[in-house]
Amino acid sequence: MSNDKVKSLAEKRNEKQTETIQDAIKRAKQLIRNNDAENLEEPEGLASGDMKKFLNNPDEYEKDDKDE
Amino acid sequence: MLATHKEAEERYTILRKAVLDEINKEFSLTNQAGMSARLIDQMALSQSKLWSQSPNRQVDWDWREGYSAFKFRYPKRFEMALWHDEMLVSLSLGRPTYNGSRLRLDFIEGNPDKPKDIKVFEPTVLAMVAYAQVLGATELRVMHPINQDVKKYYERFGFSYVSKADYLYITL
Repeated sequence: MSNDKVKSLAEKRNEKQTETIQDAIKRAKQLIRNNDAENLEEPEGLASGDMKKFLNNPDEYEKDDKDE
Repeated sequence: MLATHKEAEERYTILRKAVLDEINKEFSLTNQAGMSARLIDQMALSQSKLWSQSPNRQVDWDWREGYSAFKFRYPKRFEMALWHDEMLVSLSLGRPTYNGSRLRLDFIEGNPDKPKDIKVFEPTVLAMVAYAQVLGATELRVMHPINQDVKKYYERFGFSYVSKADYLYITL
C-alpha cells in the first residue's frame, strides 16, 4: 500500500472521529436544553470528588469503586 | 513507564486533544469570548495553587500532586483545564471504568473566585459526553458532590443521585 493511500485512510478516520465528537457535543447540548439547564447559576465553590482519599491510598480508592 | 503505558498515554492524548479542539470550536461558535479548553499543564497547576489563598474555596486539594498520581495510573483519563483569558477557571479529571462502559468525573473544581457568569460545569459535561463517545461509554458519573447545593445543581442537568456510593449518573 502506498504512503498516500495510508495517509488518505488516516485522514478519513480523523474526519470521521471529528464528526463523531461534534455529534456528541450536539447531543449533549440538546440534553442540557431539554433539562432547562442552560442558564442555571453555578453554586459558589463548585467541586466534586475525594482527592484526599485518592492520594492517601490510590489502590483502596480504586477498590472502593462500586460502579461496575 | 512501560512502553505500553507510554503508547496508551500518547494515543489517548491525541483523543483528549481532539475533544478539546471541538470544545474550543464550540466556544467560538457560541460567542464565549476568552474561554478555552486545554490539557492540564504546568501553567494550570501553578495557577491552581493560588486557589488555596481564597476564603471561598471549599476544598483544600493539591492539584499538582493529584494530577501527577492520577496521570500515572490512568492513561485513558479525561482531563481538562478551562481558562478564561489568563485566568484558570476550572480543572477536571476522570477516567473510564474498567469495562469502559462508563466515564467517571472523579475530580472537578471551579476557581473559587471566578466571575459568576463564567460556567464551568456545562462545558465539562460537553467535553465528557464527547470523550465518552470516543471511548464508547454510555454513561457519565460525577463522583462525590461536595455538598447539597452542588448535588442539586448536577441533578438539574438530568443526573440522578445514588446515595449508597455517593455519585450521580446520566445515561447517554
